[in-house]
Amino acid sequence: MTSVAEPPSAADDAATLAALRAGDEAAFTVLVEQYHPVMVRLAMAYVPSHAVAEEVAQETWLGVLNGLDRFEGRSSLRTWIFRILTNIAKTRGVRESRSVSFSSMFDDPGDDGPAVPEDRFAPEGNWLLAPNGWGDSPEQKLETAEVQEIIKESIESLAPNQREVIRLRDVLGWTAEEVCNALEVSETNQRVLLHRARSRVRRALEAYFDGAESR
Amino acid sequence: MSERRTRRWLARLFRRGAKQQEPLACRELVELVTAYLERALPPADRARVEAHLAACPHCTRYLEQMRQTIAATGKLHEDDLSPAARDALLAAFRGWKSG
Repeated sequence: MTSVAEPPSAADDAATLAALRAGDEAAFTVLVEQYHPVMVRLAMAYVPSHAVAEEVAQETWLGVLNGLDRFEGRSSLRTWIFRILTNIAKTRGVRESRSVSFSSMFDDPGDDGPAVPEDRFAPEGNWLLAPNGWGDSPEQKLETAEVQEIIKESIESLAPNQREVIRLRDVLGWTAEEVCNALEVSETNQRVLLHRARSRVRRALEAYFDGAESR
Repeated sequence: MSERRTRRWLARLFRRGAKQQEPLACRELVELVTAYLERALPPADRARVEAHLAACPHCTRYLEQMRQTIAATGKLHEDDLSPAARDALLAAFRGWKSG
């Protein structure tokens, strides 16, 4: 599976839609393989268990199939699919009475402090403890299983709204516009959530590289 | 324009000019990195960020590490579809087709 991909073009979407309408099982399989696991994970932010999230995603696919004739191509196909998903997930979440306010989950980026801890700056705002280098060719190290696991863990530990935004933007390579549309989040809040998420992941990597240095 | 309004207008303009030229502190820059990379900053702020980066190797390194973080995050793989989910979804698809 490719992780970072160009968003499908309108022509790709039109071809997929035509195939689905014609009952093409292969086209449906491609779509499901691409999006179903992501959908289940996103639904997890709204509902209490993996089993319910799985149900939400399955219900979404039925909604997609039954709504094919209503899809007008004003948004991309995947944005439309994820809008259906979040609507079903919100409804299910309310029914399962999770104490989270869903309408505001992405509207309120919360406040979890600065990108870099205050104490690394001098009072006038310049670096006191500047970032260390990550060694020669860090790109290679960043792709090792060990470091990929660190990234994964730091994403898992984020608040759900930050986690979903960084996953869609940086793991899956969606555009800002697509994420705003799919999650019904404003451009500004999307950016704030992404900023906090990326800053946290960078700090996890920094901790790793600083530790590796002193070993 | 009356002279008083002109003077007020000029004063505003100068204040704004002064604000734009105010250099950024490193602490401020690290909070603008995402907006900078997303090309979401107004031109004046973008210029301030670039002026700071040109003079600050620490923040240049910080920005580079953010870029590396983004690239490394893009190498993660999402879970694959489980066979059970695939079977259930294909059954649903066949049901939809024949329904």
